[in-house]
Amino acid sequence: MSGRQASLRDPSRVMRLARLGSMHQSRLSFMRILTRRIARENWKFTRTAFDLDELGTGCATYTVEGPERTYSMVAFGHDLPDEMRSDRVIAEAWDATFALFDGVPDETDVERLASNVPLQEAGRYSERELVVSRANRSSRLWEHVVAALAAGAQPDAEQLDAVGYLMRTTAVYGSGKFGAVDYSYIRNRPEFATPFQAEMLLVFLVRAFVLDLVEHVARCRGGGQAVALDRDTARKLGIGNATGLGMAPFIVNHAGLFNNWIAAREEAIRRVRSVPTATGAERALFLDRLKRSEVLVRDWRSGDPVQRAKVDRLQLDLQLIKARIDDGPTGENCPWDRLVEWSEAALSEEGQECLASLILEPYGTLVDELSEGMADPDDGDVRIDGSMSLAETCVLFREHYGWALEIDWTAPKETARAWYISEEKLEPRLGERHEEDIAEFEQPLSPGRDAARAYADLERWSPSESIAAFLLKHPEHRHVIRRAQMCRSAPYAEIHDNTIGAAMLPIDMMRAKLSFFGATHFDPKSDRWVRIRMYAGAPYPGDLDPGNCEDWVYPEQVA
Amino acid sequence: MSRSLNEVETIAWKATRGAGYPWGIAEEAAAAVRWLAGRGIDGCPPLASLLERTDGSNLEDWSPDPGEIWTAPGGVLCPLMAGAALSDHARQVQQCGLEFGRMASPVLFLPFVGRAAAGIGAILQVTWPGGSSFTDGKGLALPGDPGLDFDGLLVAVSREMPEARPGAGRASPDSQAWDRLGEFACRVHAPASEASRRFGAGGADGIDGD
Repeated sequence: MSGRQASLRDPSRVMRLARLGSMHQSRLSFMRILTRRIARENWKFTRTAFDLDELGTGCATYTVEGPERTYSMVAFGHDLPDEMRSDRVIAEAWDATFALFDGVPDETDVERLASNVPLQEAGRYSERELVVSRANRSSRLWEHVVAALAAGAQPDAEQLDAVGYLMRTTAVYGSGKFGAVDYSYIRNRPEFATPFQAEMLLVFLVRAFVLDLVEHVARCRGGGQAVALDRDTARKLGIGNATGLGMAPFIVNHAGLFNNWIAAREEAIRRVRSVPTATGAERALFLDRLKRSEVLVRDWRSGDPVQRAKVDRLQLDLQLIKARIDDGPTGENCPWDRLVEWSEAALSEEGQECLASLILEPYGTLVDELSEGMADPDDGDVRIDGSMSLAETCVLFREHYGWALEIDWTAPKETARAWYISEEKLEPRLGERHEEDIAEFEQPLSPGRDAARAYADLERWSPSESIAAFLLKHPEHRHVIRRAQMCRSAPYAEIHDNTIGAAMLPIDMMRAKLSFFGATHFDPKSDRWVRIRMYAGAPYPGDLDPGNCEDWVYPEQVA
Repeated sequence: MSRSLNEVETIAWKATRGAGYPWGIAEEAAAAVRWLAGRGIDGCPPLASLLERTDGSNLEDWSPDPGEIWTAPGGVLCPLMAGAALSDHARQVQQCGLEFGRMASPVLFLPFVGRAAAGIGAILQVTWPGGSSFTDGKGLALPGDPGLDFDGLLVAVSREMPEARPGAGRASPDSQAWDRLGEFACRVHAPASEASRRFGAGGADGIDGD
């Protein structure tokens, strides 16, 4: 061991919107953390009820037995007329609705769920429900697959690849929403110690249900001549997700939590960059995942011109990485560090972040344990240290918000947008501040501007005063003072970019969060909503094992 | 109705902001009501009553002026403003205790005492005419209901921590108070306008094309 320790990447580099909007899944993505655990602990999956008619209307139950506890998904199928199928989070009817239940539901539980889960946000849930969700069929693909299977044929591979899923979810609600159990109540269970594990478990089960459902409907239609979907084909299919603006504010509102996700990945990158020598096996595994990434990226379609250009460049970047490896840097002398350093000048941000995730692949023993630090034990509740002097506070602001102090906040373009919640939809919205009457309803989602305002007032006070005295006179700065103090122990908490400027793209914030879920195939439909795939390539519940729980994200290479 | 602590926290956050408090104080109110709920106390009625009293008035009238006794220029302290000040001045409490003047909805002050106790690693006792409470930041010992107004109170370090109230994982807020908070919470929502529709504020207007 040379003992060389690489440094963490600086927040001013990592926390830019353009980079956050280029992030990729990794060993520390929530889906992969879950499938790793399921395989390691050998969870047992059982379909305990499947009572649906030829239209897919009815109820099904799937149970999951872990080492200590059992959970159940209760799924309801509905017959939704085509004109009611909408990706909007505010829709009122769906093709299927789901709840993840703590334990095994009895008849009374199922009755209670049947009168609430199909209503989604309009229903009420109890401490027995962990997650509530719903999904719509991809109308284009669903009918094609049902018709083909019913007629005894396999569906057209090109059509399957183009969409990538049979159903997509439009919301997955956990953490106490609509009366469901609080995360604080279940966080001590090892299986939920990492964030969003219950949500990811539900989506994993939804994918299994969707496969069962499409084959069931095809069988009802085709009778004896119907066939099952080819298993390799089925495995390629993920669950789609359509995500709108609602997700973007999350990473600002939960800055301490988001810090822990980024910090875990950055520490993982640092550890791998510090590896002095790569063995042949480690290099081979990296090359394998690199080559399979090419297939993954080739399959990544988007109608969005900006994203398409990024994907094209990423394809080139993957070739450049391969050439760089082939050209010879050996496994000696901190090879991953040298590779990352090279990438900073040679690749696009999309390519750099893809590489940063890829180098973690051979090093599960070094990095997987970092998943244990990704939750936020404080739940965002941080006490302000009132004894801090204003001199110290100003240093803190210059260190973490220096970028914001340089922005001319009087320029209209820097404050062009305002985040608000509409009365009509009760969902986060993004408005044009200078053209609509929304400023008074603005949500606290502009830490940069707020920091600049607070800093201007701080400078008017004597540096020896305490922040406690300052806040007595300036309670309006309390919000951003708390954030600034949080940055002391959470350096990746803040986005180092203007979140209300004319140039801001909300999809960058969504992409950052979704990459930590483990999503792939980001397909922006505008600057403020995006479709993705979850679990594409993953084994189905009963097929997960330690041999396939890790590399399923990367498609097998086609000869 | 049984509610999650997350729901209680969210409505307190929105309602406090809707009543005109700064976001940072709304965050404190949310954490305070959740802290009380986690100890089996419904913070919604005192919060609703507080917001109704302070609504439309100048917050400075309700905010503490430091002194031998911390009092409000308007005569009655807001427990959120006073609580935030207490939490920020926690070290001062450790040295000599802090005395506050007349206070509205004083039960909302107790979570801030808890915050201060956790911050300085001490047990804090709150004494008012006719009663007292203790907290070490985690637990809260509070015999009886402190009622709607205190004439004054003293926060000081204590050596003893009596048996704390049992914890609670769910809340059952008073439904009337919940609705009153709901009305304040609505004020943070922007009415829909032609302009917002025109600008496509939400984005995901896609009808399923595939």
